Amino acid sequence: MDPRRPRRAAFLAALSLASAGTVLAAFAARALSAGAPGAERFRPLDPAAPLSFPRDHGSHDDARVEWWYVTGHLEDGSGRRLGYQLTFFRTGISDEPQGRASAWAARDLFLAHFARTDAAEGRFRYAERAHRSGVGAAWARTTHLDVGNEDWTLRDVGGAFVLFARDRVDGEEETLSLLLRPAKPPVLHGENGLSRKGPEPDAVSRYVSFTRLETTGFLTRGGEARPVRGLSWMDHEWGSGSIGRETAGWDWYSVQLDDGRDLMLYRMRGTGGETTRFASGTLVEKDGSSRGLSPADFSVEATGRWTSPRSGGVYPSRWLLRVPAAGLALEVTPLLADQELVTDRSTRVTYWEGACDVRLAEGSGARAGNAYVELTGYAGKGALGALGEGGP
Amino acid sequence: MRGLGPLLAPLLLRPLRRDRLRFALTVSGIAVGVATVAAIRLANSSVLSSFSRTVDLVAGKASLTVLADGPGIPEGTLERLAWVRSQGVSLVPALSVTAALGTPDGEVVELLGVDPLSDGSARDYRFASGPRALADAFAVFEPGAVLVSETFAARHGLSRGSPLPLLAGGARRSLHVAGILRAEGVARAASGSLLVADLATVQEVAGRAGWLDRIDLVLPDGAPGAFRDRLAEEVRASLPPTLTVGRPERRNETVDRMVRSFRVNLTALGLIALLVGTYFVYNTVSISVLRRRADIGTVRGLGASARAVFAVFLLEGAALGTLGSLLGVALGTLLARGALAAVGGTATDFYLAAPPPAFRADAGVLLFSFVAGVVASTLSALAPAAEAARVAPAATMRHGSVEAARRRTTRPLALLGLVLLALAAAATRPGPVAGLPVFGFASVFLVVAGASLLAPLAVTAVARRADRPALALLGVEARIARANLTGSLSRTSVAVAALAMGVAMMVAVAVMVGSFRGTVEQWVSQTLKADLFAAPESGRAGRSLGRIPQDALDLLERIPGVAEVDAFLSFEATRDGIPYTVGCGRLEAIARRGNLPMADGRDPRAVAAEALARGEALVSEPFATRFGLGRGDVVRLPAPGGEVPVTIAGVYTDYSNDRGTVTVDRALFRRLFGLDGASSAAIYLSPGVDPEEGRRRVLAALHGRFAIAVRTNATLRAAALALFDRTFAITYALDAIAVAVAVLGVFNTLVALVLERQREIGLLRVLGASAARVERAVRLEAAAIAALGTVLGLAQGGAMAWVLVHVINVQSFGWTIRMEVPGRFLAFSLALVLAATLLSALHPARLAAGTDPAAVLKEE
Repeated sequence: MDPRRPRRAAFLAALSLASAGTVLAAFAARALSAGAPGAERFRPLDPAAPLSFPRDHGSHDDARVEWWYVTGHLEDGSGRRLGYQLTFFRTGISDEPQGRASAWAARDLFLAHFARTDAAEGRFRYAERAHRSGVGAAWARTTHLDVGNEDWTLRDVGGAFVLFARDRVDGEEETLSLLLRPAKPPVLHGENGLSRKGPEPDAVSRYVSFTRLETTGFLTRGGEARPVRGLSWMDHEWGSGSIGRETAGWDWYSVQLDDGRDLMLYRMRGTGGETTRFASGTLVEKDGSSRGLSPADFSVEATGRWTSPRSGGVYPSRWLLRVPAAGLALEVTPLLADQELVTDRSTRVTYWEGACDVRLAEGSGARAGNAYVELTGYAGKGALGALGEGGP
Repeated sequence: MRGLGPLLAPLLLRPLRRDRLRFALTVSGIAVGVATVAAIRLANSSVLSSFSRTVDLVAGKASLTVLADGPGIPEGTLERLAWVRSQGVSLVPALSVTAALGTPDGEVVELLGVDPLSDGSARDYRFASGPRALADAFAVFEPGAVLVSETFAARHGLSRGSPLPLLAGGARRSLHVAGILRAEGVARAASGSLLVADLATVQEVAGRAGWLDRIDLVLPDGAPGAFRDRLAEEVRASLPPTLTVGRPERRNETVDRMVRSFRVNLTALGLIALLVGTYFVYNTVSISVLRRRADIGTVRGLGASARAVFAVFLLEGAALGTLGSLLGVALGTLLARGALAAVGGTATDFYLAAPPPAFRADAGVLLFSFVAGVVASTLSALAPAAEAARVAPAATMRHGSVEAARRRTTRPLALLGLVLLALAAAATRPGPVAGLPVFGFASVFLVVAGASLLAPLAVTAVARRADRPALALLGVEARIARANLTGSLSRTSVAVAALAMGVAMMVAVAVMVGSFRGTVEQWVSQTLKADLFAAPESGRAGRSLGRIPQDALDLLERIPGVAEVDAFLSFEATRDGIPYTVGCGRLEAIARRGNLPMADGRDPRAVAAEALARGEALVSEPFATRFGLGRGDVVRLPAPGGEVPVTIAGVYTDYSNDRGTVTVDRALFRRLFGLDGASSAAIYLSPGVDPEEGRRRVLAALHGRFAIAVRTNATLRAAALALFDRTFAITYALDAIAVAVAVLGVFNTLVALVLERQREIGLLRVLGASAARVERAVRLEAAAIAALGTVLGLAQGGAMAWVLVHVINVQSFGWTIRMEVPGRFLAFSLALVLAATLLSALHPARLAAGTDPAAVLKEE
């Protein structure tokens, strides 16, 4: 497996593995094997094809899996902090190049998660959606970024992004409507956004991020709108390849430093819980230039633990991140211990995705920025934890 | 002597032992009547409850359901309703179709198409094997994947991956089992014969792409009723008027309406059978009173009160009724089970193409039938019990004086009878009540009651006039018979009335069914003109399910030797919950052929041409009757975009559908409803092509791609009439029961009379009458009763037939039927009744002949 493989490709591939028991993988397998050559819908990525934006921020119908992943840190006027996560997954489940007679014939499943972390109220909320393509409840356009799942949407409007998501909490409507403006150009991880996953020619995926999106908008609760502002991060990845099955899970970190730099790190864990050789990162400078980090360039040390009362999963809960070449030694602390998502109604994955505080680990210990951390494969049994449940 | 206890043994129990046969007959008479009523209602309530259970199970947790008045809900409606999601409401779409298994037994199944991703919020699915939840069952998204219940899988030997051939949408589809559901929640619907599949699969299998037939709204937990009502209002306001929103249960009412007139008609016939049974009770208790006259006198002399004696005989009636009703309820349960096992009986054949319903012993129905039997029996024992109470303690009063009193009431009774008959005539005038011919049934019962009250007068009048000619013709035995007839008027007139009632029922039903059959036969020959008829193969379903796809129609037209294809397409619509049919045909073809007889006798060619030119509709006669609409009126058709007003150009006769049909031209239909394909198609062959050869060619062309049944004109006609006969088989059965009960009544009466008159017979013998003469006298008496009963029954039956054909039929089905007397059938049946009655006289006659004069005299 390529050490630079992007993290959430792993997530999605794992998702398809999760469904291995529940046949999604069977679809995927058929997607890769069925039909005459060239007749399939899902194709390997063409390494020679240049990326073209804004078109490539939109959906790629010939890729089996694709996701758009927005996380962010907001503050209202009174200094209250809010973390949010809005994720759109697309999983192609039919490799038929032509549609069937019924619009319901499921070509893609669209799954979505929406989570909010309110540090002041000590409250973490999340919701999930699952729809198929074709009948209007969920979509992803191929011409530009325009994805949606019911009333959760993310759209490209002339180089900026409009995000809208609505949820009900205890009978009260909670709405997030944001404008995300890129402060840096998109970062292409790996080699020009093309991430080779293995020796097979088709084992590649694309991974593109906006690591710093200046964010303004409103959080509305029960009819009362509060202006919010802050920074968001958006990942977009797509591909048709597969993932090795020795992976137990992974840890992923996105850090937005107050000095204007952004850092992405991840490490895959093996079935014994050990860090495998598949770990990677990207450091983005204030001016938008970026460079890849190999496992030798950074280290991650967990310093705390948290046990989930729902899933029983034991998660690391506090970390020391070091990137010596960049002069970074950071202490990452969750805003709330419990930011776990149990997604029984959509992806059926249990994972932890949470807003964190970032401080300098040495010297003054002063505040240095914000982070989002994703931890998977801690809450279940088997190779992929909760992801591996079910089965034929 | 106080209380009833001491009276029971001498007055009831001892005689019971002596007269086992008669008691058994009486009890079985009641039992048959009660069984008929119970069976009809049980079968019906099983069909309905099976349906409503399915409705409930399919509705699941939905508080509101959107349904269509028209051909379905365009799936875009979901997007139109997306706003309700912001109120925490889940939108759960579904499409269900009835189909038949492609296996040799062709079992009818319900195929429920759902969105597995959202359906869990409305319905419960538990898997017996495989995935944990519906949302996990990604295999369901595969084309042709279905989930089946454990019970269904066990019945058909299915497991995951088993192929499951299905006849749907005019083709044989290859489905496969993707999972087995535990027999819980929705998997219990349709008696387990429910297949669950992805919406896409069902839309494609049924040829219904783009359509849903329900959208369930699941409210957030704990949402108050006020929220539901407000939401219903808002949803209603955002939908076209042809889509309705309300509680899911309202679907039941529509189905109830479909089978209601059928049920009410059968129940009425069953009640007549019960009525005949209660005559039996009257007869038996009367005979008890007569035979125990001396015993009554004795117990009265010993101090029993008149009230106690009255109570004892009332108790006899009640006891007979209870015993008979218990037996009847048990028998009815068996009959209903049998009827349901035969694919749900007629109601499902015609009204509900659905999986065979499970039998359900509806306690209300059982209680109703039982109580009806007991009450009717007890009431019919009232008169004889009162007679018993009048017996003087000395017990010397003779039967003759009772009869003298009865004769005096003959005229007042006849007068009352005439009044009832007049009322019966008046009751034919008012229209239906809530769609049911309530007054029509009242009229039939008044005819029965009135004619029965006329029976004593008829007996005495005929006896008086026949006295002299009979004496001349048949000798002295005739005079004895005549004397017995009038001498025991209370007995004989009841026997005559009962026989008349049985005969009347037979005549009425025979005339009604015969007229109906004649009319339908003629209509069939007028309308079925094509050489071949095609309809989707539908397994064991009584009517064709689904549609012939449009490609199949196009294919048909290209077959060499096929001159023309006239496709008929229809869908079931509702208007204020009342079901009816919207259909189409090629009006141009009707304008050319004229094969659609108009109810008002106008030339169908002209009417169809006019309707075609003006974009107007033709409506069937039942539709016109049911909705009170006619030529020139406007009917609003439930197009998906909203109601479309269409003027009615004419009313045509149609005996194929009692719900009523609105027919428009195919092009207009296509434009309004966006549907194509055909429910059935008439195929005209080129001149010189033999129908059998044409059929072979059509089948060869369709083979492999479509599952369409093709019948020749001759076989379709035969099938139509066979279906007709099957539908009315149950009425003939009821008929036979009524006649049998009446003939048994004659037997019973004659036995009673012989026993009662043993003293007189003994005297006759002593005076020189031979045993043969006595025997002949009894036979003549039976013949007289039979003749009187038959004549009276014919008159009564004629009147009832008229009411059935011109009032009840029109009001409940809206059909015009030309009255036609099936002479041969009637003559044969009447001969049979007469013969049966005369045969029933054999035993009593021998009994009379065997009377020992010496013993009788000694007793005297």
